[in-house]
Amino acid sequence: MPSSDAAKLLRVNLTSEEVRFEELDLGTRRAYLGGRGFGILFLYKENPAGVEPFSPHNRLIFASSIIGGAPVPGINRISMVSKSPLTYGFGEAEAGGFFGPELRRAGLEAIIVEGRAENPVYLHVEDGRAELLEAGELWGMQTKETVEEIRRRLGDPLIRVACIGPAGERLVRFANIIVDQRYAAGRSGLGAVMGYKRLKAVAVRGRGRVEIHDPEKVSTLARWFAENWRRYPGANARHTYGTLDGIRGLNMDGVLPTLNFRGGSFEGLEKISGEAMNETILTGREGCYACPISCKRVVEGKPPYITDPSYGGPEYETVASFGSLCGISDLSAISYANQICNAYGVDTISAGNVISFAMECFESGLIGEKETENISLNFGNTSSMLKILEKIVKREGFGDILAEGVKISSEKIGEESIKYAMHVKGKEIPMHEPRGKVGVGLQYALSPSGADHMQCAHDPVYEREAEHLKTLGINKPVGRLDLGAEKVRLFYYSTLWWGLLDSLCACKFTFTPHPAGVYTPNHLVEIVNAVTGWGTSLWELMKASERAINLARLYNIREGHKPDMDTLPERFFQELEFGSRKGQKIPRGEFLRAREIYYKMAGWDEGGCPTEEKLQELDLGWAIINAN
Amino acid sequence: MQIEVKYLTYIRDLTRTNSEIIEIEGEMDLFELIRILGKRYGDDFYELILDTEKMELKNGVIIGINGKVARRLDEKIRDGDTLVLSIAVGGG
Repeated sequence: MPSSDAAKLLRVNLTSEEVRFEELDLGTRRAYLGGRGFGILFLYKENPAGVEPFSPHNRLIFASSIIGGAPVPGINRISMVSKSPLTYGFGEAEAGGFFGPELRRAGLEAIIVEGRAENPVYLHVEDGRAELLEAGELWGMQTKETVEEIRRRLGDPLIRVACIGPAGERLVRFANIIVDQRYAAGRSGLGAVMGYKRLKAVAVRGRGRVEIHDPEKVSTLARWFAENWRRYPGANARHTYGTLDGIRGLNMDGVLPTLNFRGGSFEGLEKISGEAMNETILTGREGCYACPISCKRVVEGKPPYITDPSYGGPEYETVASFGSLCGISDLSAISYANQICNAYGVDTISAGNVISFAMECFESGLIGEKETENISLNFGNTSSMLKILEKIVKREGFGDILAEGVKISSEKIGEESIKYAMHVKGKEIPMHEPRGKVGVGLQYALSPSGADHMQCAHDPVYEREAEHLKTLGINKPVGRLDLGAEKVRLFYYSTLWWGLLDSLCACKFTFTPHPAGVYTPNHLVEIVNAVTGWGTSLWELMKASERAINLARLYNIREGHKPDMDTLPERFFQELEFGSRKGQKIPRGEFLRAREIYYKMAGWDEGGCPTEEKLQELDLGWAIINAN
Repeated sequence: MQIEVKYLTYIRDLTRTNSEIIEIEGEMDLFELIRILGKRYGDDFYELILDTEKMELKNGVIIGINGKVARRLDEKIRDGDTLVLSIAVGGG
């Protein structure tokens, strides 16, 4: 008898102050798995069509998965989903750490939050109980203060806290939700949704046992990982240098976003490399639940940018967005920017983007010191970068405009600035230059949540033969600049695979084809079967991923997204201005053709809408009427 | 005849040098070069780079030959070539 036939869902209505537990039935769990799957299912079914992101009726969903809580490395992230105030479509973000398994031990697989509290509150969940508690005095606190105060009030230092900082309260559009002050569910502006709802935090404590069908098999898999990860160079590199392990290679290859994506190589690279971090500010390494790799950094910035190690260290995306993108080569200052973002609760990728956007506007004369209130926003000006960041997170002065994200900011600054606004569907571009790995451009354009670099593994990993790729049906190498049908095919398969990892709240770094991967896709099937006893297959799991991707697509169409939004900023169709790939661009015709091939491969019509037959094939027939 | 081999980040930690010139006799394939490097840097290096059961580079290892990624172990290396050994970046 499978052990995990039913699980609990918690419904929270902030308007009526009601909390209610429901059963999540086996059929739903097996078809949607958790994470992204649960998030889009609840969003599609329960959000009114066309609802504003800042509305009591916009749901905010926290989801673990059907395998969450199992003591195995790499499967215990937490997913958060809502309608995004950046994209006005499907918004998602995930965080590592320990919140996901805590939620499962507290007896829950997911939480759906609706409504808006009259006064600030926080949600306390503990061992099958839930209550809304007053948070008036917490309002205005930074994330670390919030975590400490909640733990003090509840008298339990082991409570896990997902909270917003002052930026979420002030509806900064790229505000995020931070877990235990250093694990960021960074993207899509979900912290602003939480701030609108006046929900300061979700605090979770679980002492229960997660039901596991075959505990011995689960132990065997965890032991195998622990004993073998050292045999993989990518995993070793991630332990040694964290996510900064690849920045030198990206720079050499000319795909390190630099000066607001004008170029692909940064002259200050040596000072912001993984080696530089290890030699200067690194004080420790941390990891997530049950994982021995410890890819997260602990740092202490040097004067004048002394930082608090408890906020964690900057990851690659943060180092590049405040570093090369803004022309800054001071790792302590970048760590300080990271701390401001984690303390106030904003996404570091979007924050670096809006600042580099403003720097280019400043240098081109579209804005001046009158607008910036005497801040000289030149590329490379470290103190100005930090000053404007503080204004953004507090919504002060010119920071109030930039707090809207690059899309709305550019509309306010003027038409001339739109060409400097680097975003897709309103969400800022991550730190991967698509002109040197064009499949990344395709994923930016086609991601259901706007520009996102974690939709599928990047082009270089498909350039050589590898057995683990064959598991996914990718049998021959395809070049990084190829945008033909072969690339689209592997891109589609890989998107399904990483989409599956998003639904199972799994860490993409621990699975192949990520270069740091240790597990193969077949290990994931073994984990799911060991935990659930379902006897499932990679086929069934990949179909669940495809179901979630199609439902997210349908959701975006319902909310008004058009196919012409599946595109890239104009700059990516123009030549890189400098770096080792100077002159390279994405050929527009090839890009448009690849997009058309993708639609057809996915079973979508010419306008990018899933066909009725495709929806029926995915058992999404019920969604057709809703979409129309 | 000689080739230049460069090492990036984590690979460099294993070799403890940024780059080196290696003398070769005539043409050789990539597998032979990895064997030479294995003798120079030891079994640990060899086993971290190469999956000897599947006879392919380990996941994460990427080798560029004159700016192009080597797709197979039987690719030829010739006098004057420049190779870069690094860890691929796949997002994140």
